[in-house]
Amino acid sequence: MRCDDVLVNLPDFILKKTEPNLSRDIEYHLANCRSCREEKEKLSNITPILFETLSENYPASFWSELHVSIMSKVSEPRRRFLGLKVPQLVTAMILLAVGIGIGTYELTLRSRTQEAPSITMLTTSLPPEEVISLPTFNTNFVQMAAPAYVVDEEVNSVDDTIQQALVKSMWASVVDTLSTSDYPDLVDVELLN
Amino acid sequence: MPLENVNLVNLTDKEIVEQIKNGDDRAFGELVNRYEKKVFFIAKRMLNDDDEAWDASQEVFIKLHDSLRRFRGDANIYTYIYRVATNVAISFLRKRKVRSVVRLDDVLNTMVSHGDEPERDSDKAELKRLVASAVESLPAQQRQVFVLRFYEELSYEEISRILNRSLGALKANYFHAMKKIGEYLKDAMR
Repeated sequence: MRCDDVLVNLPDFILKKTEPNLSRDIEYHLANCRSCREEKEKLSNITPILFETLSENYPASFWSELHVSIMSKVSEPRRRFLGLKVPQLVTAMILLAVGIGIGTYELTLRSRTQEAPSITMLTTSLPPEEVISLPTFNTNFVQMAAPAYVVDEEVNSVDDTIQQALVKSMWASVVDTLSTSDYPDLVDVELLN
Repeated sequence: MPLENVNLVNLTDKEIVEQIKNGDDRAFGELVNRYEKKVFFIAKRMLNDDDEAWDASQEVFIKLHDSLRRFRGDANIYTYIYRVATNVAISFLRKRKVRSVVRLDDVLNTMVSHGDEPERDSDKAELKRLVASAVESLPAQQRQVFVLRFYEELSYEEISRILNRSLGALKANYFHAMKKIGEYLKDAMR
């Protein structure tokens, strides 16, 4: 047996919980290995102290009170919303708020710094002039909405998901404001949502 | 359907769980009867604090109450209870903003100052506090293994199922825990 194998089994060996074969191997090793013998002596010295402290005496009333308190806690209605406990819900709300904040900030930056992506990515069958002349579109809105579909295929983080959800909801508003009879191809856009 | 006239004390753990799944609240009370001491002592030995162990015990049984209806029964219920208990104790440890470690100096001072108690009882009580402090000084994983192996006398196979760790890792954890406790006690008694 190697020293490592002996050492990890020493606590059980000292407490006489090892199998007979293993005990024999350990005894043989200890007889020939001074450092393991020293480790065994150290552990042997503390086991009586540990056993001294094994007993824990609590009065019967302690256990009956604990029982009553557990049963009363268990029967209390748990405050949950959407299957989440209140602390989890608060954490989720905070994370969502932070995510939305970051998403909005990034989107604003993009709308300022990036060239406006072409809406024809979405409404491919519309002639370019129709796209450009969409009367009720807020240009910034379109700029913000379009990139979300570019990243739609690859979601790498919670932030991406939140950002996409945000942009999709904005895009849904854009679609709602347009008359689909005027722009029938926007139905395709809705399908993308 | 709950069995109104069944004497729950005679049921096995598995049957108790079935009764709980059937909506029998008395059966849950019986489960608490059977395991509250085990759960409390696991929490107590890991947290070294009666009040926290009390709160942790409540939380363990709340979690069990909420989850037992989904318990599939492919593991022993005690394995599941021990797992929940050790996890709750660990989460209590993490939540501690200021660790209330019993300082060695305090322990040694109180060992001297309890002169009015019978000497042997007093020594034993302080020895317990010292050992509890030694256990508390262990890293969480070693503490879990030490409590389950030494105090609860579970086999490594059972602990492996509870903590989802290999037997080799558990044996190493146990050895290092024992060794550190020994060094802690040696320093304290020097």
